Amino acid sequence: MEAYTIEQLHQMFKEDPSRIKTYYMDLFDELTTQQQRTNALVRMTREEALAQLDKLSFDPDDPLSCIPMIVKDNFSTKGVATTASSRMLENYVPFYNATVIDRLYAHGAVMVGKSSMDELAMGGTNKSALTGPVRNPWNLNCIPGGSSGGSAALVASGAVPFALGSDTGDSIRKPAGFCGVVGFKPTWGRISRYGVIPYASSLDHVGAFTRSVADMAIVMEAMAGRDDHDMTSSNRPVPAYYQDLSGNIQGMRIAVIKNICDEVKNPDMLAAMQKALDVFRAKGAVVDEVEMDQQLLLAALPVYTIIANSEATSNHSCLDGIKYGLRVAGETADEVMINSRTAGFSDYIKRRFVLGNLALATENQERMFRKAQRVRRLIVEELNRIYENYDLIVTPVSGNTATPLEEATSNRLSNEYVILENNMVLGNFAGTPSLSLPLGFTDGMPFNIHLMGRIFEEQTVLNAGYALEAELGLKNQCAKGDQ
Amino acid sequence: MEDLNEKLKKLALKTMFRLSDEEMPAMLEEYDVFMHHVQALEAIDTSDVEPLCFPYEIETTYLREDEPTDVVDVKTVLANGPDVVEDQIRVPKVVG
Repeated sequence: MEAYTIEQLHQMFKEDPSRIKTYYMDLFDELTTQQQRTNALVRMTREEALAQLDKLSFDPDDPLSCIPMIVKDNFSTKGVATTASSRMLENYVPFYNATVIDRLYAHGAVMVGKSSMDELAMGGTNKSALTGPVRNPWNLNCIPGGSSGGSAALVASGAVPFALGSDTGDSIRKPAGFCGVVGFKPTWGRISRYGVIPYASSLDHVGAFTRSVADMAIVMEAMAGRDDHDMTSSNRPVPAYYQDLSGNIQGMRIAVIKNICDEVKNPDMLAAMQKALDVFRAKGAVVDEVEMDQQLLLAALPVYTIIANSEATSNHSCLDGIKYGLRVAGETADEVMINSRTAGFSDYIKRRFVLGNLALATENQERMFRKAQRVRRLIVEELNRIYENYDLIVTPVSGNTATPLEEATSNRLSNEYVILENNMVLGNFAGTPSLSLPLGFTDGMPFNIHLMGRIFEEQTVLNAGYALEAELGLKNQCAKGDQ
Repeated sequence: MEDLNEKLKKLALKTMFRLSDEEMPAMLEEYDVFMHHVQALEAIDTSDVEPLCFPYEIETTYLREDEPTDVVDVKTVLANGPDVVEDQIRVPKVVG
């Protein structure tokens, strides 16, 4: 089956709407094949999708009409189990849709499956998924990255043109890089998070995966906008991202953060980064190297770890085995909760919750949690100083490609790990629109570049990505496997 | 001084789950990394710096008319309840 972008599919359906049903029959076969390769699906929603299609009439003026999508399994979907990859929620069936699901349905998008993820969106490997590890379609022995690894793998396999993800530290942008697809999280507050099972509310973003920047503009425009159910969603009008997409970046001011780039050692990645900067310059942008305060860069991962764990501990105190989710019997209500949570969470999640609770404890709160929030302010102020003179910040997505499934974790206190591998968390601290865009290959595996704009300047980021994509020849790339 | 193992196990219980002996080596390793992070932040001067709770300053509250919206019936709300009797969630006896 050919891998189509949203734009291509829309054109195809427009020319001959009778092809829609045939396309979906082929699509379910393709999803079955890709599931056997990657294990990226939690469930296929074939019956629901066909029932939805029966009620839909194709709208030639809406680019999302009858377009299939994959939804990460932490987005509430009415009548369809939503597990967040946790045993605690294994049998949980929401009675409402997340706001973004309703919005996409209103445009005629059709959910064809729910994708695997790291448990409760905590993790960067997708190895902790309840349904087992997900495999990278470019090399089945490697991880897809996480936590939105299932969505990234399915878009990279070519099966679907877009998938939803959530991003608290880099959970869309890192797997997008490991799978060689486009990943974007817009400004914090741009898209409602109502109905998305939270991780850390001050850092959580909703976003998506596509295989082209134009497709991303279409999806963002459909999802963005105020929602009274989410008090943090913005009242700002939603621009016409797709219509206003332009490769004209003449005069755009771009800052490359030198001390993050300096940690990259792979020569293919270094050469590709230079090529990207040359493309920007050739198109009339001004590109400068800037340095961030090294101590603040080194503090980013510590700040993230403390804030994310603390907020997660608090958010998930509702998972108690009483009102919904897994219940394990006990003699008292407290014992029910303790037994349920002991059986319901993996040891990995338990460790994070213990440390989150440690940082929130009365005797530690000022020293740990509040301190992290204060340093977060210093880091955001440092970023905003760069934005006073530049429209866009550029960094690498990673210094590595996707690692093998069995590989041990890296040294988590090394500069390379702390500064380079976790640099994209800066976009979560400041809530800035951040794009992960295919940049090249090394040893047969894809890698991406990271573009980050000022808050609510999604168009600038998308336009820069659109300009670069046009020169790199990586649009709509995918790894379907031998067929 | 309280043994770190015991301290973390107690903290787990306060977080409403148990940590097994088998889970402790990984927990101790994670604690060590976490405390390195705490120390890294202690080296940064944050006097006169206010905590940043959201990415940017926003107004997150508003008033609406005091009218019911998004009404959901009881059966729907309780459909995921693991033990529901007569439209109520049953738990072990709380008051003696």
